[in-house]
Amino acid sequence: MLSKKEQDIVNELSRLLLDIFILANPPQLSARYQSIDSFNEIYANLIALRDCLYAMSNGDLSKPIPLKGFIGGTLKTLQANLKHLTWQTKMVASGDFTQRVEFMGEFSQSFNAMVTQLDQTLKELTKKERELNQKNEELLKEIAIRKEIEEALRKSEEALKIQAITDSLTGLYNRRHFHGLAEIEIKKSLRYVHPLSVIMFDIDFFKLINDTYGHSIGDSVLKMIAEIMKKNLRATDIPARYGGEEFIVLLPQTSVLEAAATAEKLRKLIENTAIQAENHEIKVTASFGVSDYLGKTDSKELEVILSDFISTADQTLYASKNAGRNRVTVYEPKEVIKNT
Amino acid sequence: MTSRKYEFSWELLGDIAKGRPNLGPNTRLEVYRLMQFAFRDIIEQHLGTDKTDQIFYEAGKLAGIAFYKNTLPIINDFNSFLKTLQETLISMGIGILRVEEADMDKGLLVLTVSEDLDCSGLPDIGNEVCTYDEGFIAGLLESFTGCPFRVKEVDCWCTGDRTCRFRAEAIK
Repeated sequence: MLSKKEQDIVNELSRLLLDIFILANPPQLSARYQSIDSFNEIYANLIALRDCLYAMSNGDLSKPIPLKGFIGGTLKTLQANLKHLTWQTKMVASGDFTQRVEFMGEFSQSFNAMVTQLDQTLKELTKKERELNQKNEELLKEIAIRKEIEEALRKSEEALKIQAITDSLTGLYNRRHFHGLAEIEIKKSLRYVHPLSVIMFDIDFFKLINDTYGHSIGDSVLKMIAEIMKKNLRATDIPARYGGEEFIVLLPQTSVLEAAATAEKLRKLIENTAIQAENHEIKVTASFGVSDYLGKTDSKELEVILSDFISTADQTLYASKNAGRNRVTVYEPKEVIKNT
Repeated sequence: MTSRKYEFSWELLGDIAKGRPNLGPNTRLEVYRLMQFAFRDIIEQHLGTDKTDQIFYEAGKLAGIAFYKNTLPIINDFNSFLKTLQETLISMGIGILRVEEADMDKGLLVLTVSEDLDCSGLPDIGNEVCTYDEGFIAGLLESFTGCPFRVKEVDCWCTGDRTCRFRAEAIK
């Protein structure tokens, strides 16, 4: 049996040890026990253990466990497991879904199930993303094809539009389109009282050229004349192929004398331009008629005004023909005169 | 030393399938430990403790390099290497390797090996005994990284801990 004094000492030590386990702030070792090394060691170990457990409970796994033996070893194993688990979680976060935990009972099962699920979900998401990317790619291809088709259609429409208004051999406007443009210019001329002239010309002896050298050379002559017109007329002038070998030019805001000068320039250029036919060169001439006479326009339809206007140029053109060809004749009301 | 009788080569391990058709490649762990601790005893008596530890470390390193070369596939990624090593060590019954820290930029690793060959279950003798394992890990890491490592066991079953913890640092 312990004496009363011994029982008091044991009780005091038990109280101290229990307080180390229980209290938030551990009690100090009283002075009378500090001289006992073994008790100092127990006290120091328990205090260190408290600190370590507190750190671990707050997620700090870096604190070294100061104890050896069963309790220290068990805590080190727990710490090692938690650290390894942390590393495994980092691996999972970096995309390694093969990580599995085998050492923490039910937690292992949950962790492994989570990683498996995560892996599966990510694979599905990746698959869906791949499918979406593929569909997106297909869609982009479809859009590109449609754009190509639209562009081709637009070009085709453009080509058709151009084809509808131009002469395919010379690239000049055709007669129908010329009429449309001419009506607009006549309207402007009448409204703003601006001069408006027309030049009409016809290649001399064109049938003979066709009969002698063939239609291919005839076509070359027509193209050559169209080129001369394109190069030498102003941007505001409206040239067109009017018929077989007949050409016409509408000259907005241009007096008849200015138009006659332009006609003369064209005539000379045509006369001086040679066409290569087989082994020799051929030259052609053209007869020109020029007019600015719109006549009485008050009660006339625009179509009639245009027809009359062109007719005046046509008359002067035939006056040039009758006068010996290769010349320019300017229309004067009532009579045809003034050959140049 | 002019000529050597025991220079190591992997071929010295022999053709186990041919040589042990009935017993196979496994043996009781006690036999392994019996040999290792008998070696330790005699070498220590002849050369002292420090030299014994050095010999076991160097032997472990030699084994680690040979093990890496002959049993592990060629892997470039470090995490894949660790994973393959874990699987190999388990499948060969060597131990359960776990990684606590792996910062290859700093050249620092903290590894634990549980249920190992050398010390798991040994009595607490107050000092770390896994010097062979230290060398073995150093040989593996050096083989993979091409950089020498210094490996030290910081916790051991024989010091009363329940797992062996190794700290490996690249020697730069």
